[in-house]
Amino acid sequence: MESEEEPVEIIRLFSKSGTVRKRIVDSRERLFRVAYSWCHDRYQADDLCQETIITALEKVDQLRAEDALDAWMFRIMQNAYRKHFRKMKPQVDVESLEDHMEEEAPAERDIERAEEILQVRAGLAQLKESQRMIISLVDIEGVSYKEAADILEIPIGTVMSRLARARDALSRHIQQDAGQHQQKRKRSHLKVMK
Amino acid sequence: MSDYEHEISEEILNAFIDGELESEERIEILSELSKQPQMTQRVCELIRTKELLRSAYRTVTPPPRIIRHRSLSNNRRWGALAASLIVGVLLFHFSEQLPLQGPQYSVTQQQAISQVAFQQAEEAAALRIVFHLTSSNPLRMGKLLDDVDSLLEQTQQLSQATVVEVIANGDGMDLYRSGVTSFSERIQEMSGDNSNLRFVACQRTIDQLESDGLGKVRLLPEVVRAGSGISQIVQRQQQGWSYIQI
Repeated sequence: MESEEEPVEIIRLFSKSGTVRKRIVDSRERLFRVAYSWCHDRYQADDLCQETIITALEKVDQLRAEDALDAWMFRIMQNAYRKHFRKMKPQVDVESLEDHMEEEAPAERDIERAEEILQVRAGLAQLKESQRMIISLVDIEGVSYKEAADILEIPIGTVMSRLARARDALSRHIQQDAGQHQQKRKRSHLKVMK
Repeated sequence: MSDYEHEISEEILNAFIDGELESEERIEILSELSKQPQMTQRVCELIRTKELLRSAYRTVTPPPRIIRHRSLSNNRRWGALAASLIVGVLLFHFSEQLPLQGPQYSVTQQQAISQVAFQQAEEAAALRIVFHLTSSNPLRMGKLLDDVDSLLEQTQQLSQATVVEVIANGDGMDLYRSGVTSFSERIQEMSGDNSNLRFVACQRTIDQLESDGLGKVRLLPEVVRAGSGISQIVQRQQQGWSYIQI
């Protein structure tokens, strides 16, 4: 910061219209879903969203078109994630995923459904980071390939190949987990019968 | 990746289910699908994975955050009256545990009067700036304090009512830690000279440091605590404060 430029400079910098600022602050839920799917830690995801919102508010003058706001914010978030958060990557275990689910909507408490959700989340957590990031953006938030390329700063060809590998790996992880689960249930059933 | 033979790549099949193909390509895939049951099965698998993933995160919602909106300066006279009442209450209860909790801060007895002065300054301020420190680098800390000093000096010369809040979290907390910081005298001096300046520490960082086994974190007496530094910054921005990260 150049202290000579203040305070006129400061006032100018922060004079962006209130509607964009509001949209930035309101995007927290969308950001959170993706942030959570990247790190599977509620508090880390929350911090990541906050940092994204702050950076977006700070750099709001750099946003060229309002309709590019979402992609722009996801790009900020992926930068923040790579810069600060990835280092703190927790070891995701199923127990912590289960704890998180406790805090979610009661409609999802149906046991079979909950098991399925856990399998998918555990499967996603096992993917390579680059695969996890792209598949979350495309499948959870429905961003287009073009937007994903912009957000992750990679060519569209890479988006396609990485996404194909990610889906394939995820589907294998889910099947594997489901298989293990069934085995476990069979074993516990036998135990009860004895 | 797949054990069936066809000319259409996995990438294209994925793009097909993601609706990323042009109409001609879609038609081509559709006609292939009618001929190749294995490919149809593969497409179904891909769609299933996509849907499973989408629905597995549908209910994810952020943890609740308490964002308290303060009504800012609608009525300064009322604000001043309330402030002087608070001072009265404070003086009366000075020897007891402080009954007042600021709207966003936890304060000690010693800080209470300067908090009231700060709130009055805030009501009157045209320029409100929050500085954010995340670094434990003493050069940055020094620069931050220099910047704050020069800003306060300039605005005073211009007779522009200003309030400044310096929020530290993460590694930046070292600035406020008694026995760790090398800026304790400077902070004491700046705080004493400027009722429109406040030093704020992130309680979440303090909790983290303590749980990391650093023992009780002691802060300089001029520093007040906010629940979360980041929430505080977001709230300040929503209230129209300017934000500067050092």
